Amino acid sequence: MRKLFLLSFCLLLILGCGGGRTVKRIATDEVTDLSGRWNDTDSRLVAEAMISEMLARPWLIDFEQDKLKKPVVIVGTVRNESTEHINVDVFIKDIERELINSGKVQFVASKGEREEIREERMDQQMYASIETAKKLAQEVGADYFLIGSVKSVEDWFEGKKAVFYSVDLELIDVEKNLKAWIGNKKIKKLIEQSGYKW
Amino acid sequence: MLLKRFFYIFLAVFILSFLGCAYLQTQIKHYEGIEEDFSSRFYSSAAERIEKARNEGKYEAKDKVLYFLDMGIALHFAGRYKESNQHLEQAEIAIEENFTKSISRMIVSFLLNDNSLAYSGEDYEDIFTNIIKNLNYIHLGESEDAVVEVRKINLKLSRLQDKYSNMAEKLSDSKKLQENEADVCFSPGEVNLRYSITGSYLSMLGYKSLGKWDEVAIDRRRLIEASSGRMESFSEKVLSPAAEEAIPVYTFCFAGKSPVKVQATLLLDYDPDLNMARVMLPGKEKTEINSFKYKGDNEFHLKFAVPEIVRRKSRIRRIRTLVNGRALGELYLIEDFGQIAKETFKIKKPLIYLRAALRSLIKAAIDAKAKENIDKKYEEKTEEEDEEDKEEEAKRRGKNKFMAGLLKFAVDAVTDITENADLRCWRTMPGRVYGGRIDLVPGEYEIAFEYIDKRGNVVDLERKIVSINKNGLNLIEGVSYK
Repeated sequence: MRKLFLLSFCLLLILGCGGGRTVKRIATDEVTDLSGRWNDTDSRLVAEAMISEMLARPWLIDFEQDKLKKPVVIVGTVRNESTEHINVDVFIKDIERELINSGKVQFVASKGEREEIREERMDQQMYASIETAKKLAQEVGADYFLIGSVKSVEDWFEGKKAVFYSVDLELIDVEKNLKAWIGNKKIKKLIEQSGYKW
Repeated sequence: MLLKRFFYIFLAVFILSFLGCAYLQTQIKHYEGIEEDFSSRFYSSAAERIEKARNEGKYEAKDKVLYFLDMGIALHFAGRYKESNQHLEQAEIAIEENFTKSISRMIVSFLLNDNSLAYSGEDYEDIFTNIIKNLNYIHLGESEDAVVEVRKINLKLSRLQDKYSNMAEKLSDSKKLQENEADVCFSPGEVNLRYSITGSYLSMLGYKSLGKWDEVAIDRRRLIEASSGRMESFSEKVLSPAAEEAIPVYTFCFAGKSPVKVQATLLLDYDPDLNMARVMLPGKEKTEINSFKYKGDNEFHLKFAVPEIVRRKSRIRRIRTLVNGRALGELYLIEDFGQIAKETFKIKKPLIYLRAALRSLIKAAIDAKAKENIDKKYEEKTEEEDEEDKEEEAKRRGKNKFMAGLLKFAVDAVTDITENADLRCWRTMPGRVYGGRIDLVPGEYEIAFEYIDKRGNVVDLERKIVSINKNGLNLIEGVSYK
């Protein structure tokens, strides 16, 4: 009978054990690979690598020599063709930040932003003073359009998962529809999940 | 001495009750109100009930997958798509986490039953999660995210195929070893896990809306393959070009309730005093008892409890679409989840049964040993009393026999209380899915779904005002749990 009691007590102990939650502030650029899914670190690292590669390619020098000015770039759609829900807006912002901070290109606001600004400009024509109201039809047209996609391939077997991300970016000459640059960055992750835990 | 033993038994029972009924048997009582709300289309109220049940401890930490699944589907039908996605995402994460089996819980499950394990969802439930998420994204107008869910379905299905092929290989190898290399082969059954019909259908629609025709063709091929050719003409109709100025509108309806697990029990009892063994099969209304003569040395009590999949009755046989009051044809049965549940359960069944049988035998052995000890103590006690007055001795002997009987009854009770089948499943999941296509000119319409029984009577009617847009995927969803 004592054994039965001890057994029940052990069950209580085993099932009763649990951990609490702790919160710790960490640096935003610290690598935090928790689930193995696409995260902020992937987004930032890919954007940095791809934009630095893009700006090192001949199209930039060719444009500057030909037009004697910095090219104007706009970031279009980056399609998520992966098996994960990737917040492409974060990735697009990372690309935009890298482009602007490089100082090598000029940058046009995105479609949604432009529409909002146009609304504001129209509003100014009605309500702002003549001296301060901004002129219409003075927008700078983009020379290049940057589009891309994120694809992924997953392989899984008995607690091991290999995820392969392929990020493609293409820079297209808006006037001539010529592709000025195509870049690709690959990330491969191996996620292991143990079959047993205590 | 006997009182002390009683104390230990009751303390053990007290601790077991402290662990919670959820560890001993599947809790389903709280589903009564929830399922009523689903049948009456009070989905927000169902969500509230689920949350209340969680606060009352009806969903233990080990059952968090069920909580997220129940909440996810209630919120989906309540039209709260973002919240639904959040819950279903949590369910998916929890299912993934449960790949890692807890050794401590496995030990407990071997001593108690499978209810003490963390519920990791049935494979078809995992896939259905993505189907609902896909619909949520379609309703939110996020077609790219909807396609992500479709890709996830295909990925999960190919994983399952690998998993079961591997399982079949291992079982086949072990059988060959056992049967001296005899040509015995275990196959994962006739279950076609490669493609989900509903998943492929939604995938086809998703890719069609994105204009990815190569993918559409692949999905159509999968659809035909998975349905053994049944969906060929239907898929052709679905993909055919719409009439001039009109655009295709896809109708997608769920009907009935998902299958559930019920307990199948077998009780075996042997009393050496009577030389009689009893086999009891408890049924819904009465217990079937078969007694036969048997001669053995020790008392024996065994309870074997396993789950069985049963379909739940649905009155709905057909679904008719009405546009502005005008009947525009009937929906086509795409998939019956009851059938899938039965077939996928077939794969797991041998393992569940084997585990239950082993556990039952171990418990029966412990039960027999405990009774043997009780008998020994009882005999010792009477020997000690040999020199006492005969009348007094007979009285004491009677009292001790009564106490020993009570103790044995308590030991059997512990075995019976702890041995229960794991009946956990996604009870709020619908049973069947139907689809159809109608062509409409963009604009606002009143669309109704008539749910019809086998006699042709309308048992449920669902009306909704919808706006048909030129762009994107126009999918109108309906549901009846009747």
